[in-house]
Amino acid sequence: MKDAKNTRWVPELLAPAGSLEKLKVAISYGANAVYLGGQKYGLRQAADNFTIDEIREGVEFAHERGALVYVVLNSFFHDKDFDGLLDFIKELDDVGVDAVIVSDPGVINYIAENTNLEVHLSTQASCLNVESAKLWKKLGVTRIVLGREVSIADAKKIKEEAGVEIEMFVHGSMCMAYSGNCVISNYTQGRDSNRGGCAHSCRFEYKIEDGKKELNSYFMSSKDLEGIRLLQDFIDAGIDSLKVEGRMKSPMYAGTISMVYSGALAYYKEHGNFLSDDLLKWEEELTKVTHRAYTQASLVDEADETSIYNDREHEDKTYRAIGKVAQVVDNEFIVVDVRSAFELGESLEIMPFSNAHVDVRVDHISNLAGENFERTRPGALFKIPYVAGVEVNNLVRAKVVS
Amino acid sequence: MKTTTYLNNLNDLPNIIANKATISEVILATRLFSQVGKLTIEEMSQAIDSLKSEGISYCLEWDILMTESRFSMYKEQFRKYADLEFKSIRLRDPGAINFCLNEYPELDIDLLLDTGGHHNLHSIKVWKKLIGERLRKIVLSIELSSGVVKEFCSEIKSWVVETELLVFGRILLFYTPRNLVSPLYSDEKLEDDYIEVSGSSEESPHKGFPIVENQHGTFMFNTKDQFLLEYIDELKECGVNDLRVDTRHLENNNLLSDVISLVNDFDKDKAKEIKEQFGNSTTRGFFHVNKSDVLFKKLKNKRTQRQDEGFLGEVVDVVKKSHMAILIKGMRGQDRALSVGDELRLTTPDGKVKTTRVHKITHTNGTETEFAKTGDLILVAHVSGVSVKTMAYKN
Repeated sequence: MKDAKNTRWVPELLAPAGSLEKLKVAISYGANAVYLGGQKYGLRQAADNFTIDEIREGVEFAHERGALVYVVLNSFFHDKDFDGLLDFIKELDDVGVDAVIVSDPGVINYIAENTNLEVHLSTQASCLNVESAKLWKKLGVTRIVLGREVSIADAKKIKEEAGVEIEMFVHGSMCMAYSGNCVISNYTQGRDSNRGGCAHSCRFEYKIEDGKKELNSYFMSSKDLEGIRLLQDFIDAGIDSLKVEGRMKSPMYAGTISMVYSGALAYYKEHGNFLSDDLLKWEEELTKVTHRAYTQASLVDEADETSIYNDREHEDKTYRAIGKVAQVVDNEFIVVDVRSAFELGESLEIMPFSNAHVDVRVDHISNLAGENFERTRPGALFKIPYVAGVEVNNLVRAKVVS
Repeated sequence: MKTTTYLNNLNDLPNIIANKATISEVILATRLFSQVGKLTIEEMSQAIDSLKSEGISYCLEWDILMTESRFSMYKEQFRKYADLEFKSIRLRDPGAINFCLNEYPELDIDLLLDTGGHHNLHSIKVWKKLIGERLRKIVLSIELSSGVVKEFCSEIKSWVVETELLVFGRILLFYTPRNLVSPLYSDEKLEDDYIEVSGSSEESPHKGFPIVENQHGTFMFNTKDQFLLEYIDELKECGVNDLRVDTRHLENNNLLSDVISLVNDFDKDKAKEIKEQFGNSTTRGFFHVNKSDVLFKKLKNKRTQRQDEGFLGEVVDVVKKSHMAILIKGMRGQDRALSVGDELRLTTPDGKVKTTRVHKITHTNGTETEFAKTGDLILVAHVSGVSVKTMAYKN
């Protein structure tokens, strides 16, 4: 009997890689592709970003595992920004990145004239409809990252009628404005939001006045997108790639989101549906990373007032990110790169790249020199006893005890 | 050099007619197709009759962005009015551009590049290539400095295409299709489908951002209006064809006459006087310089950023006077990424540079080794002043 397991098509899961560390974590936890930024030309100037050697290493790491690497060049260029671009894109071509993500038509054309790089259109270009997609296709883009305002139903139509690959956001923070059409930071902070300087003014609380009354509101702040319950719709619509937002976020975020969505897609490949007992577990896992309240935003219906996040701080965390495994010395110890301190007697959850997490009760802590400790401290490495099955880059978390 | 302005309601007509000799054209800003227009379709029809009889040319603004579902409806609406002899149609959404290119071969296109990107000539050339002979005018971004405007205008003129720049009007900061204001007034009956409020945040030094919500979504504007009237002589030198005056947020558009008088006979003092009389906060924005990328270098610590040349790895753990742990990330492909005897250069997060000779390398299980490879986590003797996140390079 033919095994249906490998015949079912699922979209690519595209995860954020704000650093080489996050790239490795995201791919190890199941992402099929990652996107990253170089030292220039991306929209996250405050992120670590990659040197060309790091991109090379990232590409090798990804390709060895069957994953792809896309590099963002999605800032809106001023003429002077073209200085150095030629060398950079030629290096990207040499290194073997799988595509670049671009928003500026001038840059698209420049890349097409000078390299063999595949070009994806960034969401910054706010491509929202069939005719727009056709126009961008004329410029040679092979994939379009649609604006976050586009529904899955509209995306299906765009794909079918324009004949291009379609990428949609499935999870993460949302721009409230049409992407690429917000210049608040440019005028209020002197930082060009479309060249990487966004100051997130949409997250501020504003006092609204209409001459009659005043009220305070976070009216421009969006809840975070969560599309886990819409995966069947994405598949039915033939959406080629599902993008997770968050290059600035932690390895815990990149790993957890990759793990959950890749797990759900793997379930579909095997069963042909998402009617899993694990559905609630997947949703629960998504609440364990730092997030705002979730919304499906515009994926089904146009986003309304229920998609507004009327708070400044993130949700209360039920889990805290302890860190990740930096080294495993078989049958001897595990070295944990600690981001949030833990202590003797505490229970940790170590998350393997597949399968359920491993519960570990910490009965011994020492530093790298072998000195014993009762409590770790953030920003340092500590040894805990060896646990079978644990690998380097496994994430470690702990339940918040109230 | 001429002036372009909006027709936002029929009350604007007398002033426009009075200045028709120096107005190049009137932009019909309808509720239906324009981001913040207020003209009804019925008023537009009336206005067109008047404009025609006065010999004033007019164009339709269709500057909204549209998802596919909305676009289908707008296309149907546009088909009803496309034969109203507009001199051109002002478009922002690339979908609307493609639609008009394919379905209305007689219509010229004014390309709105005033928001979003398009701050480089490469980009503008691509648009020219796509739209071809149908491209009549390019509306330039107000984020361009005068030097760049001059360069662009010179090139664009050679294509026999016009240029336009906003000299007076609100600066749009934010545009979303979502309704953000009306939910705040959900307990009240809103009388209009055009709501205007102001917003201020403790987290921003700027107070009183004008915020508009209408059927197209929500728009936030800068607290200061763009005001380039003092620089009309410079704009003339730059070669801008049309100066756009947007008084849609004011009670009347008397400012139009002032601008026209300055275009015809520039006087800096008079421009200043007009500015003082205007009273509202104004800005020249980025007209003289755009340095909105200079603060980027302060957004992160360059010292903790890896450089490729000689990169060995990162200090990930430190015990003072004892050891520092280095995770070896660089030197891939080399048998001995780090050997006893090598000299290290250490760049700390606070900018100090230390050098040290490696006399001993220890694995985390305590065993000594002569060399370590990429991927290894090793301990070497601590160097005073070195902390976690120090970058290690091999000299």
